Amino acid sequence: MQEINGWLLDVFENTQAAGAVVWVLSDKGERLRLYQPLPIRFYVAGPAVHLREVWRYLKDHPSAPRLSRDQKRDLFQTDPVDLLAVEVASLSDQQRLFRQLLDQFPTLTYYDADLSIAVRHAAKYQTFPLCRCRVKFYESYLIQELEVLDTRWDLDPQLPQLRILHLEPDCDPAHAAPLALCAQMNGQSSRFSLQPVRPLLINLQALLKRLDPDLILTRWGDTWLLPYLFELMEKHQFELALNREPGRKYMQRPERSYFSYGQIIYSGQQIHLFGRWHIDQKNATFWGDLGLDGIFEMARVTAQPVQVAARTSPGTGISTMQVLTALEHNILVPWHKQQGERPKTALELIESDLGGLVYQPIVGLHRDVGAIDFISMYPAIMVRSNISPETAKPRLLEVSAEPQGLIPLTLEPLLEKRVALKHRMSSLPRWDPRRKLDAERSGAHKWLLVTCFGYLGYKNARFGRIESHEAVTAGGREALMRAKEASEDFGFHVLHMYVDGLWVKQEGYTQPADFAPLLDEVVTRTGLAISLDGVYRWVAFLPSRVNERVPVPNRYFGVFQDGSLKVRGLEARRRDSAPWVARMQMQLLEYLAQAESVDELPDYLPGALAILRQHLANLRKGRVPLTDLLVALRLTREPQEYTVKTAGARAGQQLQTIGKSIRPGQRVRLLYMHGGEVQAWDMPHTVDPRRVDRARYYELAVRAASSVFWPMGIPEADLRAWLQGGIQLAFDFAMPAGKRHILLPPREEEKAWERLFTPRVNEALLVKLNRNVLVG
Amino acid sequence: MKSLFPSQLPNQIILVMGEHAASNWMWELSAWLALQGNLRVLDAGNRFNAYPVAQAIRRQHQNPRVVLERIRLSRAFTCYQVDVLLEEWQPLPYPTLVFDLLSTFYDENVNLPESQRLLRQVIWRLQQLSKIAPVVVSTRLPATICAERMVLYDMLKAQVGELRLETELTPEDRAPLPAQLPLLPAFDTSTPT
Repeated sequence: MQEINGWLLDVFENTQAAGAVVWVLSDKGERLRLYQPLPIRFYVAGPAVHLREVWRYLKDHPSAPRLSRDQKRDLFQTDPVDLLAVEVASLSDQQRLFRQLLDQFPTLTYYDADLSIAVRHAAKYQTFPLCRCRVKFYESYLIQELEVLDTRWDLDPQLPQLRILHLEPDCDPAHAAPLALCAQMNGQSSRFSLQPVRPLLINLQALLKRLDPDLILTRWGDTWLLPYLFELMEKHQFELALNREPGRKYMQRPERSYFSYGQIIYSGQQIHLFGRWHIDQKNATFWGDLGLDGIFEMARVTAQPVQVAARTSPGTGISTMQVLTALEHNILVPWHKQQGERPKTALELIESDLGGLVYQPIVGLHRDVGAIDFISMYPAIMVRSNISPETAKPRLLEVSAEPQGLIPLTLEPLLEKRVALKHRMSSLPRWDPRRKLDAERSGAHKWLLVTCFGYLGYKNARFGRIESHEAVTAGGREALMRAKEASEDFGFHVLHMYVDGLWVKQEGYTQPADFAPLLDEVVTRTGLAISLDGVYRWVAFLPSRVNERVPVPNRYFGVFQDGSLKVRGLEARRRDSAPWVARMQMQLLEYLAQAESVDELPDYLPGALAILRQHLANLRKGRVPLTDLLVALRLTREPQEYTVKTAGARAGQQLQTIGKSIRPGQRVRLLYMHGGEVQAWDMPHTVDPRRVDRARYYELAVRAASSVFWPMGIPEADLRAWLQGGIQLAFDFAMPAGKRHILLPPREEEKAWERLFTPRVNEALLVKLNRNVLVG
Repeated sequence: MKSLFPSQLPNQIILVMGEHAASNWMWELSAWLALQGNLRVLDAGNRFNAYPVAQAIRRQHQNPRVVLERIRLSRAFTCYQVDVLLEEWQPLPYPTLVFDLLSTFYDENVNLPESQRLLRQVIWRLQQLSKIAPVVVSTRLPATICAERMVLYDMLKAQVGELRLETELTPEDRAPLPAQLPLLPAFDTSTPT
């Protein structure tokens, strides 16, 4: 018998013996493959006469299930449910048996029937990925005892030193055929040519054997790299040690398009390995936001395997957490939700189904504005008012006397961890490296908490209920109204309210401390945690593009007192903006953010206009790389289904003509070309830069710039006129109010811009330019 | 509004097909039926919007709150919920409207044989209800990402008494809004100044 301390890396089904394989990384650095039995139990409910039929059907079944009677709690029923418990030795047997029972007895109710092995293991042993554990095992590596030493809620978990191999093709396979693979680990880089194949496989094999990575971190690994390598392995009869688990292939989850919150989402195919992890940065849901530490945190708190947590939505994460809570509290997990909505009148529907509260902003520029946010408002309401499918509908924001429901039970520790991390982050100096780590982990919590509310109303949420969903939004509206009343009682002017935040100002209130009494009052009146997001030196709320008199919620930009920017709803934040446009807008904002106060802003406007002119000149002179002009548009249906052929649909059809598969929900990268045409970026031939429609990009840039200059008193029409060759730009600056002038003589660029839109002159300008890289 | 609907709906299943599951037409129908009496609504595709219904009622009735109270509705988000709700509904002498019935059956999370089994049950339940009061069911065709589920639409179509194809309502279809009364005392604009 041996005993080790270490970290749990992965749990999956054992194909060599019934039960689970448990990979552990010991304190000494050994990677150990252990195993243990894990009987799988599920339940059938229904009329006694039908259950007897099931019993008869199963008693001589080849999988030899253990059958017994049981009684457990269904969250949606008041009395315990009489059950037939069915237990088999392996997950595969259970899944097969469940499918057979569904065919034979489709009208019966099934519980705990489609749970993953990881969540069953987590419920039984309190395990989760990267948990610290003590394991006793026999010589045969059979686990005798498994004890978990930390919890999912530890603020500073001790994490192992992982071996990470970075592996990627030398270019985007969707755009061009890769020629080599680039590998990098511990600061050492290697490059493997894809041809000839045999040396490639041999060299890769040597690398894998020598480094034995715990994680293969790829780009395009799910969609191209690993499928390509597996194809080569099969063709050349070569066993590449991508898995640590001997004799296992890989687990492939196919690509799919699905609807989520009214939007069509595309999820690329996935390749999961056994014994080590594979994460494709390009297919990881929140790689950009969370990074590896955020993904590990997502896996730890949700108890989903790392490879799953990296790729699934936070909704799946929160659902797994709820299932785990149910299993831990002996509550049945229904195979699917059956309970419908209690009937209500149309009048009740109008009164209850309202969503979040929004007060349209007062458009324009404002100085010294405090931004106040409720911390994780909806989850906090769910915990405070004990909102759960099985609990009574609460009175607005009141504490419930009922025992804690399943949803608050699940959320409370997560919420506490997030609040604790946020408090710690705010106390750490900017240079402290823990800030970044805490921010990534807190980001994972934020996504889970944001989703948990929506999940109450989600069609496939097993523990969702629309009435609970409505109760949460009702609480949210009440909290925001109480905050507004408190602000006005304290003499503040409320500029904007948006679901869980409000923007307030009062003459002479410029420092965070000035807002503290208001925050205390809001906490007293609502019972919810609230924080000051910051005090803006200045903030600009923007109107609708169609009608300047109509404000648009959540479309603003502003500068906090420390000079940091906050931008919402502008091109700089949109995923379908060309990078060049987004960068130009961001540079304008960053330049203006240097103004120490709103009074200095007019002095910065000439410089900002010069930045805009410089960017436009770059476009005209062909200094903008084509990749910076790419626009990525999401398709909401198959390209041929569009009745109005949008730019995205036309680019999608171009890709289809060369045999590339384009699914709804995917983004298509394209360039705008002359004559209203588009060019899909991932076509095999190179793009002729002379055909790029620079006038279109000019238009996009001016529109984006106009959003920045409009609140400063410069209307879009005036900006355009000036850019086309005006001499003097006169404008009314909002504060202090008054007429200002920017006098800039028109330069040669403006003359050239006039010529730009004349095709004949245009061609003359273009010939000098680099054909492949730059815009003509 | 009356011109849009027959004066008396027959006691049978009437299937209404259209883009967005003919929601505009169904809202108008809800208002028209509620003006005459009680009404049951099963919203299976999150399509029922009480605001246009209230507006349509307001054009005909001075107290829309009373009329809105006559509409009792439940929302279903899965085909299992559709089945359970209809099972719970007792046959009553009120019209029943089902918005976007097939929406949840088109859901790719439920396999097709299971969706077919449930839909058979649901159609049977609707037929029972339609024996004593009209049942109007709206639907739409499946999106291409689940085109194989067209068979569900065919199943439903084969079992209904009447099929209507509805295009989106145009403003001309709606009853004209009453003119805004002048807020100020009238004056004769023809008077020379």
